[in-house]
Amino acid sequence: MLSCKDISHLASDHIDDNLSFFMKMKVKMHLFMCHKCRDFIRQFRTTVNTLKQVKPATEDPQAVDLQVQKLIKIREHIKPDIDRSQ
Amino acid sequence: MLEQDLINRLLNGDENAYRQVVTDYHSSMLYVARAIIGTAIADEIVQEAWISVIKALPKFEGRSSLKTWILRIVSNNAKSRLRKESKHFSAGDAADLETIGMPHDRFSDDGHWAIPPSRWNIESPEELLTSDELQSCVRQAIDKLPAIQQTILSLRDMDGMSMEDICKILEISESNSRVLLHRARTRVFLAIEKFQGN
Repeated sequence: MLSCKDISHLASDHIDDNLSFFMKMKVKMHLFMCHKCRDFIRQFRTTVNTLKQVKPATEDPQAVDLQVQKLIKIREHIKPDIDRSQ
Repeated sequence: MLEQDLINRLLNGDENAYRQVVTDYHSSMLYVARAIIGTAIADEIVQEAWISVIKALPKFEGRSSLKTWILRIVSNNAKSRLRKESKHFSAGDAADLETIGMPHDRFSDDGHWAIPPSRWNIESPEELLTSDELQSCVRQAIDKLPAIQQTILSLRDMDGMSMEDICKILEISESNSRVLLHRARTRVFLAIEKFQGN
């Protein structure tokens, strides 16, 4: 029988569907009987789904421009080598 | 097909294509470099990686996605720099003493909840993210994570990359990366829980 602590350790694997059939059944059995763990798994799932919608910190447009110009210059500089190797 | 189009445009020196890859990949490249070699020279490693990418792009065979290929170049560059400095990359042992997830005091000795999850006022991701304060709470929680956890969380949950690709990029075992991902998610969960409780 799994404990609530075990459920908290298995939360990610449960949500990511990464448990064996046997373990999946044990988790389901526990969740059927334990409303605190049902709450926990629901909130943990919300956390993961929230993370999926968090956009990575936006790059500063000026920094992006600077990096792009740097790369274009590098490309121009090494283009003859690239052409020779093709 | 779309990716091949992007690659062709990069090969032709199309500025917009470069803007797209910098916007989409540069921060992930930094995450990977920081996780392996630390913040101090991560930027230098990423700049070197960009040069390697531009040089090697004509030979890209498409056996992985462009992003995975670029991140592997970053990882290889960072690791070869570590080797030059006679250091080794360690993602940490999954079985180390750090708690796998929730703090121990949340449970009693028999493994039942001692401090059960509190009730959340906001329960949908969309609603959570409409609150600026909560959004910055999530971002702060991510920023406070150890670099390796930040990288795995960002690649897996925010970028939607497969665990298989993440393990190949960082050259760590799947079991180790899953433990690190779970720790990272738990810390974000605890930050949201604390925010909701206030």
